Amino acid sequence: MEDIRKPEPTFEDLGPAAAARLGAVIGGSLEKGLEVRLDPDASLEDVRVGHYVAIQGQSARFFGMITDISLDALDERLAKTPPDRADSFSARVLAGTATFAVLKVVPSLMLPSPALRGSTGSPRTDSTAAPRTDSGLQPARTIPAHFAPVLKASAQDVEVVFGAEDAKHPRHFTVGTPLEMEVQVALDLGKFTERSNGVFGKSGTGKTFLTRLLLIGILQKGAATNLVFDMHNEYGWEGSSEGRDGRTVKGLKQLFPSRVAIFSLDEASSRRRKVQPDFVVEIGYSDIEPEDIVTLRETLDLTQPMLDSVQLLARRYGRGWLKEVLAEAAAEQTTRERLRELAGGIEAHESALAGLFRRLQGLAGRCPFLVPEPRDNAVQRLLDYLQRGTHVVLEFGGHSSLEAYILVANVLTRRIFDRYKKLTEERQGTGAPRPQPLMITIEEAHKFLSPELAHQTIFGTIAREGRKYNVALLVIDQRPSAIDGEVLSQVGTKIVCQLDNERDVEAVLAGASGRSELRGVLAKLDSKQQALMFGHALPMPVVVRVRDYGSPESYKSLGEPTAPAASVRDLFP
Amino acid sequence: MSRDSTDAQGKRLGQILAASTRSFTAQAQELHRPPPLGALVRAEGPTLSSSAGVANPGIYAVVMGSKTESVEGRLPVATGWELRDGAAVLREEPHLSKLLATTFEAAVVAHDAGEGMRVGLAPRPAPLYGFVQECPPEADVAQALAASLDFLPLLLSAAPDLAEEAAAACLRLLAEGQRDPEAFLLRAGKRLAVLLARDPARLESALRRLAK
Ligand SMILES: Nc1ncnc2c1ncn2[C@@H]1O[C@H](COP(=O)(O)OP(=O)(O)O)[C@@H](O)[C@H]1O
Ligand SMILES: [Mg+2]
Repeated sequence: MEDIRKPEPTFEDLGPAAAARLGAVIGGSLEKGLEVRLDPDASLEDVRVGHYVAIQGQSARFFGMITDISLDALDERLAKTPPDRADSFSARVLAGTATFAVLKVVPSLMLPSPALRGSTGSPRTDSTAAPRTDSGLQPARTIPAHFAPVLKASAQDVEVVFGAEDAKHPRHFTVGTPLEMEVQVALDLGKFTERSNGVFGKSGTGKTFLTRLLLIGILQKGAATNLVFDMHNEYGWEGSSEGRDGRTVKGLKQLFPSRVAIFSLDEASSRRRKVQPDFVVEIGYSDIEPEDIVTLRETLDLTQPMLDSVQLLARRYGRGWLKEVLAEAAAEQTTRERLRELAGGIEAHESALAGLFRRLQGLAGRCPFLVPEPRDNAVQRLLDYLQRGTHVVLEFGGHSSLEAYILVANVLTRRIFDRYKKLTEERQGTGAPRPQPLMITIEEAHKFLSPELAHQTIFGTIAREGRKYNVALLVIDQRPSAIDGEVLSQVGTKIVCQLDNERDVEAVLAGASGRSELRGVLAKLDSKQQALMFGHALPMPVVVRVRDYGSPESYKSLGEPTAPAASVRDLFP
Repeated sequence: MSRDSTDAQGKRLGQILAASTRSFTAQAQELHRPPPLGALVRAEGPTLSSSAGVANPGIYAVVMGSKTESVEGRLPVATGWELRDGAAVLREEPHLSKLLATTFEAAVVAHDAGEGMRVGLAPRPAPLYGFVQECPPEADVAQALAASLDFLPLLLSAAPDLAEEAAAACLRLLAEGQRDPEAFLLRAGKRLAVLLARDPARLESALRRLAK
């Protein structure tokens, strides 16, 4: 299958195939999209919003997506005097002719014919030419003329646009199939991991399954090293599937035993689930910085005076501040006098301090992995693994509360980002190659990246400038509208499953070209296992049915690469 | 297929008595036996040395209507009231037949050109006294016209008052030569629907005729 000698399909290979013809261009504009009249013999009901089409122009082939479908009639009297029965001869005759369907197609890309790209008088050989890939694809800058045939995209069209998971494209990973097509869409994970990315969709739409596939792809193709903050223990050893009556699906470690380490915050829970963690994480009081507490503002219901007190305490006690606070809070004799004395000492409000103490004490009680003196340095261990290229999944076990998740993700990510920053800067100094990109996966991303927090916390920083230091986020969220707009605009590739809140739709599409058309496409997604993908890693938006995950069949191409075994076919050629 | 007049695919139907670029009028060989409305017929085209290599080019036309009348330019006189029916009148008084003629009119839709049959008007009209032959639905020309249907616009503009009736009749006749008549009629109906979209009343009557 992966025959490297097989040439890339070219313009000539993509001739109009009569069988796949849908209709002809009858009008439209580059900006608003083309109007395509459906051929009388093409069935309207086989055409869906989100389908992917090719348009054969005179000197270029255009690629686009169907974004709307409407009905029209040559004469409105015809449409307004319907034949007696829908199945009568007249009705069948009129369908597609005097009354017909019009497809709206937004052309995104064009593949000029070789004659226009070659040395013979190409107007675009200077450096200001449109960016284009090896295949010669360019953003659509013009539109095909009237009556250009519109075709269902062929497998080759899809391959020209997206590339395929084969020897020629070492970083391409198959994510699924375009709607109603038997071909596969591959995502260029090399480009994907250059920037932060998002997987959005309401609950139950398949975000976790999709993310697991992306992580596997990134691992298999060596596109980045993954660090996954696994709130619900779904990625490391195994995950659950609602559809398969409580059956489990394999996690990363089962597929890549030697390349994945499981860190656990809750050893007992891990062992109950028969998971052998590689490392049990404990976080020392002295690892918690005021910024970590700021992220918990909403979850812990902290007021501004309380947060101010944290800063004052940290200034007063340095890294030992939390230890100090918890010791004070635990002491029976924390009397009013003692509080007043403390507050006076750091110029904080006495009542704020009292509230803060109560909350922090509660937090420490609920998070047994918070200890005064950790047995080992989790950050260092994490870095050791990551720098060896081992992917790390941090399981939260039974501590899947938001406060624990936010706190731990913050504490660890801040340290790790600092180290990557230093490492990149050092390497830049010596001219050594940059470190392997790090992709940090977080769920419930809006809790870290809300407009109030995005400017104060490490995740906002990574979203904005992580790229410089080869660190990127993979954010998973069901409420993208609660994420800071600037952060969302930094998300390179967006993979969006069904969303039904209008504000969430608005938020994920902000800044995307062809926004209003994509909105229509998004509204038509199935409630599961379908996603609209667009952005940095994709030459054009595409709707896919996400590949199946969880069956024995599905694991075949998703494990450690094994030496190809001789098949029976090879023995009997 | 060679298209000279000796290759008589169909039987002889009549003789041309008047011709123009758009149509011709022929007298039916047998009284009261004109080809039916919508029938495809072949007339002998002009045989000129310059006629691009076709020895006896044909001109193809669709029967748009026919009539039977007195050849003397005035109405015949009624007779034979005691007889059972009209046929008996003509049997009893055979000389009457000599005074009557059946003529039919056909609209030109195609002609033989150098490289084969071509849809459209012929460069010159058919000469008078040329014979008109049947061109059955199985004939290659009929098959070719049925395949492209490109003759329909010409036919619809030939005689605006009843063109859609003649067109529908023609399509039904052509359908008899098709392997899947129903699919053919549906395809033909779709072509009519586009051509007559601005005239729903005519379209409706054409479709009604096609449907039955
Ligand atoms: N690619 C897929 N392959 C197989 N099953 C899937 C896939 N995507 C979704 N599902 C089914 O849908 C259910 C919900 O998916 P999940 O990823 O848990 O949704 P979310 O994380 O968005 O809440 C899964 O338990 C599984 O049964
Ligand atoms: Mg989930």
